[in-house]
Amino acid sequence: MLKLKRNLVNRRIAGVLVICTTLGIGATFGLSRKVSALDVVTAPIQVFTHPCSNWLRYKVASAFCYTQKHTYTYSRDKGYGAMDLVMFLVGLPFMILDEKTNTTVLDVQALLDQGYTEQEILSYKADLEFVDKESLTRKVTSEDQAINLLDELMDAGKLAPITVEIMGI
Amino acid sequence: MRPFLGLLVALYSFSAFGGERVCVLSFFKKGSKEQAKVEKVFRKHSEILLIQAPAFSETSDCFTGNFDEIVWASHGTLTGATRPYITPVHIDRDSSKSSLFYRRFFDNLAKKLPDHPIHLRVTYCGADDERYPNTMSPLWDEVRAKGGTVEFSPPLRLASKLLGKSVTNLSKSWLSKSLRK
Repeated sequence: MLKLKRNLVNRRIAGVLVICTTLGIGATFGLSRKVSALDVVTAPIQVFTHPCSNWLRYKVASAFCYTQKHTYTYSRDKGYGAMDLVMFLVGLPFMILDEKTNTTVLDVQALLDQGYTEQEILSYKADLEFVDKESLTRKVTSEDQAINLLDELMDAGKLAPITVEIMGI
Repeated sequence: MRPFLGLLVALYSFSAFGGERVCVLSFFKKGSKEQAKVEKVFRKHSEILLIQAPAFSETSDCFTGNFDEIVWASHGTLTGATRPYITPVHIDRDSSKSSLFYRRFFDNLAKKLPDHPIHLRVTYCGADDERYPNTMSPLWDEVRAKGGTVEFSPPLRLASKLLGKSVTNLSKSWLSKSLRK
């Protein structure tokens, strides 16, 4: 009887573990979509601001503080994620020169060294803050909305050429 | 005495081989496998000026110098919020932090190119992918306009097909083509 009870308890624990794992994976995928969407709008802003000090505003900002991630363009290609493993296996014998998995930093000095002027950099900073404000006003919650917003601002001529050039809008 | 001898040897080798004719720009992190590979291929060749993780100014000096051939080896990435573009990745020598090369840098570099033809050899992912704009293309156009050539390392066909964009690898045999025969 005791053994039966133990088995039942073990089964329940196993069941809870399976459910938790499933929910955890689901939550992770859910979160990654949100991170991706936020990334489009907020990532470049972090170059000049301090989002990590404002947890309520960005919630997941710690994932990309002072970094500009380059994954969001890939996430638009349907089915790309499923090929990651195959790609990894195919790439095993080689040193593939793709920076997809890493993050890069953008700072003022790097822009100055590449020939951008201080005035342009200030315009870029102003644009990032403007995009940030607009995204909050319009309650941008998805990647598509973020992309639409950027396209709309560019078409309306509200973004400086440096912003369009660097952000790829 | 030793520094003097070293200088003498350096001067001799410089004159014996006709000076450094190739500039190799290797944008990889300190201690990385990529950096070690490039180092291994070029370190013992006096006709090669190898610059590991060059600063923007050193990169510029290499293009404005008197080199016949320039090798560009780096990582590459597809970026852009709504209109994707491909660009090589810069590595800071001291901090090893990655940043991107933007179009302005190559626009300026193109304007500074010397009049003699340069053979530019390029290896990074997406360099030859014509489906996306590339920040480095103004430089390539100018190299060609001045009678030079631009050569890309061959892409990995299967990996490129799977990824839907051109990817390449850091191949020792491809790098070695810049060595004096």
